[in-house]
Amino acid sequence: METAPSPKNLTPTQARGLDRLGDILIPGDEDLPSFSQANLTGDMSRMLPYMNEADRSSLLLLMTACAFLPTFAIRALVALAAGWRRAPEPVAGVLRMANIGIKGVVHSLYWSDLHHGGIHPAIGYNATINEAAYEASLKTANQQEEK
Amino acid sequence: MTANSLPDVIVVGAGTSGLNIARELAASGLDCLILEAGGRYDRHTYPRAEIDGSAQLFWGGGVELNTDASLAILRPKVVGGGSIVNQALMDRFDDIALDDFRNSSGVDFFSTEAMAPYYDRAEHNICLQTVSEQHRNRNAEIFDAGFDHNGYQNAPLRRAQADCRFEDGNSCIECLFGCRIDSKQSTAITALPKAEADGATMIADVEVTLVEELPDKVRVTGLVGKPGTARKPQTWVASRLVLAAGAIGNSSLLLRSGFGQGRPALGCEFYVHPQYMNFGVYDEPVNAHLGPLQNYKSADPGFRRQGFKLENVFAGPSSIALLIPGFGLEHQQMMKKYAHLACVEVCVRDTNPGRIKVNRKGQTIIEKKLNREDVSRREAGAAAIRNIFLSTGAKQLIEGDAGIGLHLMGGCAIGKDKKTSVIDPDFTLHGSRRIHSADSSVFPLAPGINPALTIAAISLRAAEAIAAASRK
Repeated sequence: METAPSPKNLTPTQARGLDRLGDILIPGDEDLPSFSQANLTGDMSRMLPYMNEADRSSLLLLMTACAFLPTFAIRALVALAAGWRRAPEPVAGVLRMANIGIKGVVHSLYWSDLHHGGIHPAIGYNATINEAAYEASLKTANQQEEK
Repeated sequence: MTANSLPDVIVVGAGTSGLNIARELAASGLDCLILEAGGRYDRHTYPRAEIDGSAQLFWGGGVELNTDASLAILRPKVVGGGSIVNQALMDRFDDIALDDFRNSSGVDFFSTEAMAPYYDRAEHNICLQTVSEQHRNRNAEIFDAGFDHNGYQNAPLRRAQADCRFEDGNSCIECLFGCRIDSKQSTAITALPKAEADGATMIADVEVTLVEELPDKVRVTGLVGKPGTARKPQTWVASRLVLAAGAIGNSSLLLRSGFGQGRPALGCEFYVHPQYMNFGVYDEPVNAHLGPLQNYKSADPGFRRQGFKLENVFAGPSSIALLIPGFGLEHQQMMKKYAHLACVEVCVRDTNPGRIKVNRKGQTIIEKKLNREDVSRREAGAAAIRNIFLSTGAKQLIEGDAGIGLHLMGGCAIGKDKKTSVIDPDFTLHGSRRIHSADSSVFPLAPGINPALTIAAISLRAAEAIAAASRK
């Protein structure tokens, strides 16, 4: 049976919730923008189509909830998930799942420095691949072969 | 494959095993159709951003979790499979691993002598280099010095790489989502072009959902289309089927297709080599992200006896942020020390098998836990890492927030006994005449050694058996 296309973008409510959740994890300072300042909610389109349906539904529900919850409640939720080591099993397992889900989305968006907002330079990440040099070397090798 | 003709063989999964088998079968004159759930990329099109690499090249949009969320399972979903996203470490199994495989499965070819010609061929098919110390970064220096201070033995790594051109300022961390200078010897560049030259057909973005064995053929049904789009079902028919979708893929596909009946071992004996990244924070910059990502492996007989190994690894900022515990300003401050982090990973040779299941909705369930022995192996490795960091001047130690499962093995164990195995020593599904497998899903237990080279070697052996069966 043909499958339906999955949602690619957040609703404005979900986007507001993601920004509020993200700011708890990454509040920003003089060197780094906060999550919401980095303007990343539109980039969820790079993740949503690839997620499992069940994960995507849970995540969108969480974002909707975060749009309406008071800030202290969102902070308590994040702290609870981050404190999974203090909980007994199987509660700890549920908290680990929430922790990985929340951190996975927020940190993937933010630390990829998608808009070149100075996030990578601020933490000293400057890894590169010199593709131009490689392609030039291939060209030279091809020219030498032709001769 | 010519138009309107049926292929001789359908290969499901274009990873290390699938493409090695396809190359061999195509070279022997068989028509091969290769179906892969992931996309097909090349050096110009591999994802650049970390978020895109995770989303586009792995199942679940990055990670899948086991039932208690203690392990983040990284399951490649791309033409080339694990050979695109791994660190390309290429080690033969030692006598310990091969003896354990033979004793567990009853399969005689798991011996150094019997495997040697296939290892030779697998190595001949790719460029192999020992990672040079000339460009090693501070993370590697710390690893080496820490081993030296504590009397541990390490050894240089052998990688499947052609030329990483470090003199151009390249950093291998950028190639974790596909090598942009074709140095990494993925099967997408070493096996697929040869298979296609010999007539094989590759179709990407096909998620196979059902396999059926009929008296004279196999039928394969899949959903065709890129993630997020409306995907349409399509069916293919061939004489034989090679399952090369990995431990989770093969197990769940066979279970979903009803092959669990009469095969009690299907989905069982699942291993992952749980890996735990640990960090040391140093005053001076470490820049673990620059240059070769790894230079050394642990080669300590004591570690091997205790059931773990250590690797000097690292990861991009998003992954490190996920692993650093906590949130808010404190976490943010730690991320600012990204360039001051050294990293050593303990990789556990797990003894407690997990199980792959499929629920009523057809969703894959991954049951996998560490038992007391596995936890003690992890702790022994973590203790050695602490010794390494503390003897080299680390100011703070951080234990990663999650375990990682990257070497996904078992679920369709090879063996003679139908009650305890799924695939017979001729690489055919027990009770089947047309369905074969030779990827990591056939491993009967965890070897404690990187599996890539052995998957390639076993696949070469399997290709001979499948080609011979096709000629009958």
